[in-house]
Amino acid sequence: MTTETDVVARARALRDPAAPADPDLLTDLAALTAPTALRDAGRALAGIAPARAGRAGQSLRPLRIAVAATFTAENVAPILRAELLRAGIAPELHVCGFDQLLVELSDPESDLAAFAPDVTLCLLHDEALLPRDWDPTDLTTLTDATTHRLDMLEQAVAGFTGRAGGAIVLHTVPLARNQQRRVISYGGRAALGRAWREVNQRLLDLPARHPSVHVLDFEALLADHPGPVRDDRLYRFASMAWTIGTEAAYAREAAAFCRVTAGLSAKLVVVDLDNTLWGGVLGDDGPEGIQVGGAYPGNCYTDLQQGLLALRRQGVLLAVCSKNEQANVDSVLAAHPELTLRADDFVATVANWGRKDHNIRQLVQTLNLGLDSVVFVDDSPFECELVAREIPEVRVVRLSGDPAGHAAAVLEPQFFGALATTATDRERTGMYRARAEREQFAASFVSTGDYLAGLGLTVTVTPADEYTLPRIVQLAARTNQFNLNPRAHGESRTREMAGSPDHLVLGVEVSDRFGREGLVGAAWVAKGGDHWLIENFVLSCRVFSRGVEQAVLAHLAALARTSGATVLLADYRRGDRNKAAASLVEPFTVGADTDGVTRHTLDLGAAEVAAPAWITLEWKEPAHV
Amino acid sequence: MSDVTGTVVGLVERVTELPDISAESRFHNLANWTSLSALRLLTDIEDEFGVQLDLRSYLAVNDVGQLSDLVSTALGDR
Repeated sequence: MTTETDVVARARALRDPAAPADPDLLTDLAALTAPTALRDAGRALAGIAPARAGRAGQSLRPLRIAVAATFTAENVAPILRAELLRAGIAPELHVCGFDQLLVELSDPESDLAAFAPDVTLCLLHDEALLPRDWDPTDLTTLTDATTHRLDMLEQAVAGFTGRAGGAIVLHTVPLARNQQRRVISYGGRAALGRAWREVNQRLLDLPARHPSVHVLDFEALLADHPGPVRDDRLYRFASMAWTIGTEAAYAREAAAFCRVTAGLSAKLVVVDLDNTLWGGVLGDDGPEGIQVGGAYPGNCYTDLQQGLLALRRQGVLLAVCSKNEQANVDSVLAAHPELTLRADDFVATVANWGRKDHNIRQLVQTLNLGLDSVVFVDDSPFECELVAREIPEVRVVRLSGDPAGHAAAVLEPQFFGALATTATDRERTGMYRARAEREQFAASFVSTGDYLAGLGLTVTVTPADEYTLPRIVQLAARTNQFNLNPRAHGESRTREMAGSPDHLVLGVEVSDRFGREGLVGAAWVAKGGDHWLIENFVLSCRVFSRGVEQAVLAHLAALARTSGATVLLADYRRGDRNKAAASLVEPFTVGADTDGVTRHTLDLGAAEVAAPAWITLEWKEPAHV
Repeated sequence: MSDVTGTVVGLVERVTELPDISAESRFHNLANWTSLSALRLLTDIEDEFGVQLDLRSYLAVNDVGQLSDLVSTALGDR
């Protein structure tokens, strides 16, 4: 709540023309959820040039939007302003007088006509369509009256669209509870329900006859809207037919429509795989170990896949961007029986260890799309922050918490709106895939730059003790990708080495400003006088591409040098699944191969091995050996 | 100033966008005070305190102190 209050206060501060610009304000509007906060921010930002609230180069699309209602819609305009600004639109708003909807639409000389809106939002309430004193025993008369009023509305709308160029947006209308309760027989209530649904049906039919008319199915959305639609005190006193919560729900839908009109719809979804498209980590859990399909939680991931498939069928492009081995990903997408999405549902399947922002840029360039047409979906706060920071145009969906909420997290913001879809939308993926097929996606191991510097990465290295040994053993068994010598060190060997003066078993902990990752790496080292040998090294995929392995290597090199060693060796059993571990031995010289194990050598006298500048390296004494 | 009065003063300042509101501030003397700003304040107060006020009593209130008393009574009645 504090942050919402802060954002509103910052919006207010801009009212002083002498106040400095607040370039992050438009971005921070995304944090607002309370309708009152949106209303207050929207009021404060009326008349403020959006340039004072946005970053340089963050250009908003101008759009002229009119609001005409059959009732007093007091808060719709300010909430709508806030919603539009955070949707990337610089709105010019015109609000018609109370209950002037039909007059303003019909009169060619009206203020509304003179405003020449791109979008006209028409807000309706039940009593504008119902006769005041309808008779529950005579619903034919009620239907005659609603038909007559709808005829007038349709005529006014048709006349307006015939004269002006913009879009008209109507919506289905909820019937107030106390109207329904006037009828006491269940047969009568059913008849009233049918009559009212005919009203909404007629509204929903309008776009078929009038191409510039669009209808939001607002009544359906209100089915799980918390709180009452109407506060009867405000309705009777001031003709306010909607509570602020209803106004906010409407403003969100209307802003989503305006985003489509302004051409701001996203065209490409870039999705992560592990713990996003399925549960678990493919490289570590194996194709048979990932969660997808079947019962909870696998069915949550299937739900997201079905949602993405629906988008694909309507012309939205899908792409994978995952830190994974390409071969593993290709075989799962081809063969896993429970997957809904298959390789040919994606325009590109990018699986490498490179920076995701780089992969996205390359992908967008290959497909000849704009960066602002991309939605990026990932469960890792690290990747989400990196992409949001490096490519501010990209809309980032941060998946967290229960996977049952993941499909809604992707679909609810309505990034992919379209006024209409066509038959060619189904074929779009195939057309774009041809462009991406020949592209090789570059893979560099370490993400560099000031992003990592701002993370506050701390790597703590500790000799194994009774507390960390079980976790180290488990990590060695579970880790397939960054694993120098898979399955070489089981529990007994690890315990033996940890207790031996000639060996060293190290645990690696990582923390950053997102929190503590805990023990995510380990090293098994033989201390051999003038040469130390790294027998094994494992690192969880959660901390790849941040230079963690270089930091640990720097620490090991320093330890070895202090104890008189001149050479650091590493044995790497390279296979299909553990290519990621090559990052550790990058500074080494490649030597002889014995039974699939390659000896790597690092001359400690010649090479200075330094930890990356963005990492704070700490050394912790063991609790007990 | 009681906690309730302090919160009510803050809400009046938020709705009217005016500084320096006190318990003695009279609504009809505030710049741009309309029936719609009165209703905005009503819903904000009900939202903040989790109470529902009788609209007739609310509209009869003249100053911020009286409004605070009305809220305190409603809080006591819960």
